[in-house]
Amino acid sequence: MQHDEVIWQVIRHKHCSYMAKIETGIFCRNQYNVTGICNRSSCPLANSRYATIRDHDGVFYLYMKTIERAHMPKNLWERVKLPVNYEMALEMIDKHLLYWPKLLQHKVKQRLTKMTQMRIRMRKLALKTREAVIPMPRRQIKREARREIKALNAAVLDKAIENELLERLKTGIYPTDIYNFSQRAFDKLINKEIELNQEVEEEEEEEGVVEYVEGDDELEAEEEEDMEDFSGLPSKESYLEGDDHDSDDEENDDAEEQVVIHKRRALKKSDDNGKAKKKSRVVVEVEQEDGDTRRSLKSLKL
Amino acid sequence: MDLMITSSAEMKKITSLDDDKLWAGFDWEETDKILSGEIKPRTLITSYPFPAIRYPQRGPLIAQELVSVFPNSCYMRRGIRSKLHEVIAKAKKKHFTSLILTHTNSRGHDELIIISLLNGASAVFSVIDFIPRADIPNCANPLSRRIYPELHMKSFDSQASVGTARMIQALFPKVTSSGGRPVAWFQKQNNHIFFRSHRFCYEEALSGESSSVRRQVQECGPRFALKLKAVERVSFETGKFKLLCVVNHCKTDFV
Repeated sequence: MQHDEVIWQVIRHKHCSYMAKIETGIFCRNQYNVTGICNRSSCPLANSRYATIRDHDGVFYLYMKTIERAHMPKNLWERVKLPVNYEMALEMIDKHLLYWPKLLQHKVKQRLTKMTQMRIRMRKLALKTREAVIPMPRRQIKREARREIKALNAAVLDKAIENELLERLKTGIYPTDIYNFSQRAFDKLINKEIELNQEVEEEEEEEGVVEYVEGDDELEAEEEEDMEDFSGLPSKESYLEGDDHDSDDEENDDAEEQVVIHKRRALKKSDDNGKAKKKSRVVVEVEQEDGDTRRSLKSLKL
Repeated sequence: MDLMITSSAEMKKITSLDDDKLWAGFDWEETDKILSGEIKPRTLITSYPFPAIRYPQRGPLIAQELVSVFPNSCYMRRGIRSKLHEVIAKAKKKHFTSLILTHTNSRGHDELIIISLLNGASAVFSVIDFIPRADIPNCANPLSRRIYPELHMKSFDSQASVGTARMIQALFPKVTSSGGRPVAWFQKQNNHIFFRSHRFCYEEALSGESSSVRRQVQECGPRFALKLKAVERVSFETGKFKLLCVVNHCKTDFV
């Protein structure tokens, strides 16, 4: 018998467990639904002749349901594997849904299109590296926190360390006496070493103080441009002057002044960015004085 | 994501590995050379290329603190598009023996991955309670990097812990015990590995005390606790991690 209409009346007006009402509309959570919307024509329960496409591990299957099998829920859905090629899959759908209502054919093909697009996109994404969000159950978090505190308390670290080290002292493992390193004396020694082994030193420092970023050259170029726009000077200057151990405070002050002036320029959004760099290096104090004189003049005028 | 997530079925197989087999699959010859003093270890510390969503600063911060912890190490900033195998290839060219990755995951927990570039073993730790040097009260100034710290490992008893101990030992060069060196202290307690760093210093005694000069132990260096999460094998060509064993914390004492 044609129960569809009755089923639909009951489902829609009474209760359907697959129905999800959201602000934007009414959706159907049934896995066999073609469109995903709760509709008279898209309801898999209220249509005895229905078709969908479902995806298992990247393979698409066409599922079909007919009235003849309505009394056998176990064998209700007939499954056909669709080829990976999009056009061939479309042909297959045409073949299987040949005399079926136009709406269903259309919706099934739309679904196939969407799913192929998604498949392509997911494959591309899988090649990239992305951060995986790994959930951890709350109980585990609390448990681990508790265990960590217990472990901390159990390992009486400070006492253990002190005892162990002082014992070592007593037993005389350390052959020579302990040096209480005064930082200055030590720094002097190290500076001597630095002068002796300069080549090796430079390599190490370069690797340690890498300013630029690993990756594409384009990225590097972009970042350099941005730096110049804002105030590329301070970092470059500080890098240059940091190498000279004999740099006096005067030079540092100059650098700061230049930095400050350049930043003010950036805030004012002057068009003389190129000129500003040159100006700020050479003619520093003069401009400040001019500014002051201007202010004083204004005050005089007032 | 560099860390691949295996399906649940595979995970079940993996966690049934015994403690003995955890580290057995790797080639330990090269690491032994470090331990005996033939090769000097050199560590490259870096963070993940993509910043964590919530705490983007933490990964690099921790990495920079770790530079002072491990001797003969350098910190390298990492670009967004650099891939792990490229980093590994460059590190190998420049004769680095280990690679350390620091990362703060989306939950806000810090993670540390030690990759031994000699045999491809990688241990994933979660870092708990990282206290940088600045936050430690009465902290001693760090000595020059040229003075290598002495390494002290305490309570690494069980079979599996030997492997973790070796991975950590491979980061420190072999050092004759002489006074004045800072001591890097790794203590294992209930599945956690605590790190502290101390050194001796003289303390001028106050008037009224019998001895004029006393030797005191002063803390220098950051504090942190590690918890082993997983042991993986890194393939140097592709930079992918193959999960060998996930540490099952339901067992009472694995390490």
